[in-house]
Amino acid sequence: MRERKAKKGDPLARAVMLVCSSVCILGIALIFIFIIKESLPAFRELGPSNLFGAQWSPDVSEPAAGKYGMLAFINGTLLTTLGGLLLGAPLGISTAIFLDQVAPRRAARVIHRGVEMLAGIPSVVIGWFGLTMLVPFLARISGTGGDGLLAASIVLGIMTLPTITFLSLEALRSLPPEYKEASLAMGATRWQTIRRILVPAARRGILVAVILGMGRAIGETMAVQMVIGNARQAAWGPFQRTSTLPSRIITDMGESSGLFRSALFAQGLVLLVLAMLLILAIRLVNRERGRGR
Amino acid sequence: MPELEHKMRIEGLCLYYNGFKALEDISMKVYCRRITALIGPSGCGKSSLLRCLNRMNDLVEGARVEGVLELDGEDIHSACRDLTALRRRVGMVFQKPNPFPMSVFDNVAYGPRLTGRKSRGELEEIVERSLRRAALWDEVKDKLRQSALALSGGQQQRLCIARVLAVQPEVILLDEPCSALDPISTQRIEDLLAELKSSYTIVIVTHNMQQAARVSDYTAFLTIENQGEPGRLIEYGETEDIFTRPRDQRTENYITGRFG
Amino acid sequence: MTSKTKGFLGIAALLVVLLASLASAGCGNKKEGSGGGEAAQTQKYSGTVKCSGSTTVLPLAQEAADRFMEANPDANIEVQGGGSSVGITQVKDGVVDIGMSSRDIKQEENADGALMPQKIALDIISVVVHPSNKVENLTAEQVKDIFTGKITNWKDVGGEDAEIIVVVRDKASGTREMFDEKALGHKKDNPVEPVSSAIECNSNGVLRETVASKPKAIGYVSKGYVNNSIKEVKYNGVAPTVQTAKDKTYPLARYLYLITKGQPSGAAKGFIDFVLSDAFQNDVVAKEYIPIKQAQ
Repeated sequence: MRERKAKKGDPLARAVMLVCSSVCILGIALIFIFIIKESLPAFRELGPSNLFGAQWSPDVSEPAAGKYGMLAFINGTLLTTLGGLLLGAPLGISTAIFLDQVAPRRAARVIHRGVEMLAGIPSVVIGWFGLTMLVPFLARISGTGGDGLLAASIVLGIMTLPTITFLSLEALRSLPPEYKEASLAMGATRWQTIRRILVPAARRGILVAVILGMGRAIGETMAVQMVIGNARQAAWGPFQRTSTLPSRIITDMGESSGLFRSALFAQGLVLLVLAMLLILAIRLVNRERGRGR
Repeated sequence: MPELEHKMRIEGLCLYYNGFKALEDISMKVYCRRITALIGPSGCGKSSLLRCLNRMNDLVEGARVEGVLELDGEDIHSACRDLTALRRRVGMVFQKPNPFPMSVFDNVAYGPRLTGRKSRGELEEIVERSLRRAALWDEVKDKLRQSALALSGGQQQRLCIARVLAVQPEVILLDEPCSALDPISTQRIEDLLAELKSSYTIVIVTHNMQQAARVSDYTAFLTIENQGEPGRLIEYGETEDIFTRPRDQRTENYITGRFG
Repeated sequence: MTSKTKGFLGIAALLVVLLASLASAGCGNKKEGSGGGEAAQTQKYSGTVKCSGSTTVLPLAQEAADRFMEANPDANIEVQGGGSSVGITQVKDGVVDIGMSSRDIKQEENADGALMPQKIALDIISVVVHPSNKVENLTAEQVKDIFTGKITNWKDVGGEDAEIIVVVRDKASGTREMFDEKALGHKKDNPVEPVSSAIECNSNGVLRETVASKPKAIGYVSKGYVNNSIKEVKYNGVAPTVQTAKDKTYPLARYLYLITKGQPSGAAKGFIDFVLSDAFQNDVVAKEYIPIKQAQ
């Protein structure tokens, strides 16, 4: 995770790495520039007060008269991402601990394979499962349509699980074995060792796991679109239908044009900024905590 | 040899790792408030023997112990034996200093906290007492809140000793505790051991013959005859006798450096 | 991921490709039998024709393309979706040769008058519910009130006591535009919108699946997409049929267009003529839509 200084004395390798990393940076910059360029008409002609309003009712025949407020979708994005993490993070971290510390070798291998398979399932298949199994189930137990924030959160929890599990596992495995040995030699039980030594020692790696899981959740499109209900209202309750920024973009981009399209790009830009802000915020919190120790 | 009160008794101990026999027929007594050194060439099983004493070998998959191993006359392998209680009574310091990635204070307080809630005051008292006993207090009393990983290697090792002392063990096992340290740090640890001997029973594994001669009261010499054979206890007795009048030719060869 | 898993996924992907090719081969065989109608065609066309636009027109155009290419092996017709607006924009920009639309071209979209729309069929939009729903008929007023959120319970329109889940198409779709205008009374100076809790679906297929999976749902879909997983209801007592659409007693209907920039020529002209041919109109279009000759 940390950048390491390349060894001097191998100019070719350094040059190749420099080019590769430059391409990376350039790619990110190009994406930013493109999205900003495409969303510029919306900001110029509709203005932030329209774009960040609460009402979404685009006008196809007279685009400038429409309302393109994305507040409800920002709300939906944040709530489903949070919900997904509340489900995925504890599950993923416990799975990692279980795999690393508790499970017998054979069981661990089976579970590891299982989570790997989960990681390989395309999001549209998970969405399909959500649409045909999860939503009807939720509909039955809640007496509502079944789709909405909760269904999306559950789907996101499932989708972030492999990321969080494997990166947490990596963090736990990279701990020196001496920690565990020393703790057990002190008379600590296995659970005390896990809770007081291993998890705290791996917490930075686990945090990275959660951040990357969040990265997956915040941008997930297909699976969320299939279960969240795609309504334009703002939702607060678990069974209220709404949209996230990505699901709104994918729902409307097919036939949109002009300002309508530009407003969707503005949503994409907001999504990008949102993701970066969240990551930045967590990095800062982590740094503060690191200093406090 | 005058019969002293013994703390631990080992009788006919064999250790297996899966099919491989690592130790064969070890019998010896560990005497109260004495330092016992385990010496021998690399791979002779001296560390494995040490790890039998607080059952750290249980962590190794496929490890199996036969024979008698008693602490205060009680078999440490009998089914009802509480593993965590045993390890609290028989503490261990490892070859490589291994403080936890937390503050100096939390490192020492780790053991006491495991056994239940303790007040801040109690903990502070235990931490100070343990650090003083480990001759580390003066060096770290202003950095109790700092990360233990920032200490020097020698300080870290004494911190590990303090961490063990904090749970008030009866026996302290040390597995080549000075092999990663410089001579001055080594000296300090040796001084510390001499001091701790008055209250604790100590078993130390060392590959350093001079160290064994300097610090220990009893010495056990283990070796393997050939590759693939189990380690055996060749000679065990008072350190002075072992080093000046070895009864076995192999012991003499080893301590005079004529081994291998 | 381990290399083993990768290997497994690779094999799985291979299987999928294999199955897909088998399936398409099967389809091809089926068509050979019914493709005799075009034998009368004398002139052979060649070259590539790109089409894009309305997802309503898409299945029709795809079927036409397959048959056209069978009769004209040198011709290559590429058909893509994207929606009516995309089709109109792309044909205007010259990105494609033919735009597919399920709505009229707007004034501002055809300022220079270069776009030439050709009606190819009449589409009927059915109001649909879950098959388990007992409601058989809704008045125009009830439909409007349900879709705008004034009526929220099925018991108010003669159904069970259950919350109504409204399902609509995405804002940019031609189907939505027509439904908003014709069923909800949307006008430029008096905008009407579906209730904000409505589920938005971006294709006829997704909408059908959504309604089919929700016993309490109501939506609307091109008649061509109605199957036994959903149930049509009468609108003002009129069933959505070819007859009622033709005699204009059923108002939720619209024309489908193929649009070219200027007069079509070459393979594009051949393709449009083929779509308008009696054989294709009677064989294919008539299954879902009203052939254009009968509708005019």
